[in-house]
Amino acid sequence: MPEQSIDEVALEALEGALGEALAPPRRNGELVFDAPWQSRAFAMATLLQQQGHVRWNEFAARMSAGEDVDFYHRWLAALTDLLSADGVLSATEIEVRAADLAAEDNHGHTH
Amino acid sequence: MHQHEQHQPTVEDRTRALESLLAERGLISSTAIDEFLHWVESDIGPLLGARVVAHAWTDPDFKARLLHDASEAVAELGIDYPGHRLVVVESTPVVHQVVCCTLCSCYPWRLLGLPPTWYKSAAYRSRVVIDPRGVLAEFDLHLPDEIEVRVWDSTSECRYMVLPERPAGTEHLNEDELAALVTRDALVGVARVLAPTVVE
Repeated sequence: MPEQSIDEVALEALEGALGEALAPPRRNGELVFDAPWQSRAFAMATLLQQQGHVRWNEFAARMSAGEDVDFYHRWLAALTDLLSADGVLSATEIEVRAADLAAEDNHGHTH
Repeated sequence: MHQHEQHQPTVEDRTRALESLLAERGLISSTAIDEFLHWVESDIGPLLGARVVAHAWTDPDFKARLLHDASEAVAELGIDYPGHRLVVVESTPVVHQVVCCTLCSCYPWRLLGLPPTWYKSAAYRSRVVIDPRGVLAEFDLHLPDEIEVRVWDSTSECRYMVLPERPAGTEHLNEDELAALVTRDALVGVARVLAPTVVE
């Protein structure tokens, strides 16, 4: 278990801020991720909230305003927006790095 | 002519990009993400509550200890329950137990995972203490009048979990198989545990 970095309070605060409409998808009480990237985006947002780089109410506002139908697409966009607004990382840096990673994958493509 | 394909970054690429940049800036390590996810996926959730129930069904002495002092009993299974008192209430053929939190949304989170949104709704919280049978009926659980319904109101100091009745036809199942039958809703008391449908 992480050294007290995440606890009940953080996750309940998240759900409180997001409200019913924006609650992360769950089944039988368990969080549901359709793909690993979704779980990593969820983890990053929560860990960053613990550090104070993300405030749940601002995150919720961006989730609410997001246009993507897919919950975790909106999640990633909200997280990127917040970090960019705070000057932690810019959207451009993320795009550039993402393009590099996409290109690397293609060179090693063996399907 | 060889066309070098430019693949647009996918959302997976963007997520990996974010992760690598956060690690490089010393903000969040990939290890921290791995550990957090391990905790979310395996250390919390209805699975823990289901394990407790399955163990109680198969071990009468453990069940007695669980009903006497749940916080101590679950520690035997390696489940840490600091912070508040845990009480397990047993549903029987004559008494059906239901749990709520009328004031807010207190919930045995450590054993059941995050509370469902309906549990936190004003409707559930106010109605379940006034008309529990009516609320249960909305969950498609219809209890005959002879069965007493008891509602337990959780607080920040004391959280309740239901030990549901073991369904008939499960005598041959081992603990893991029994645990797999127990749903979060059964642990709150708005559903019963069902025996697996007979195959072959």
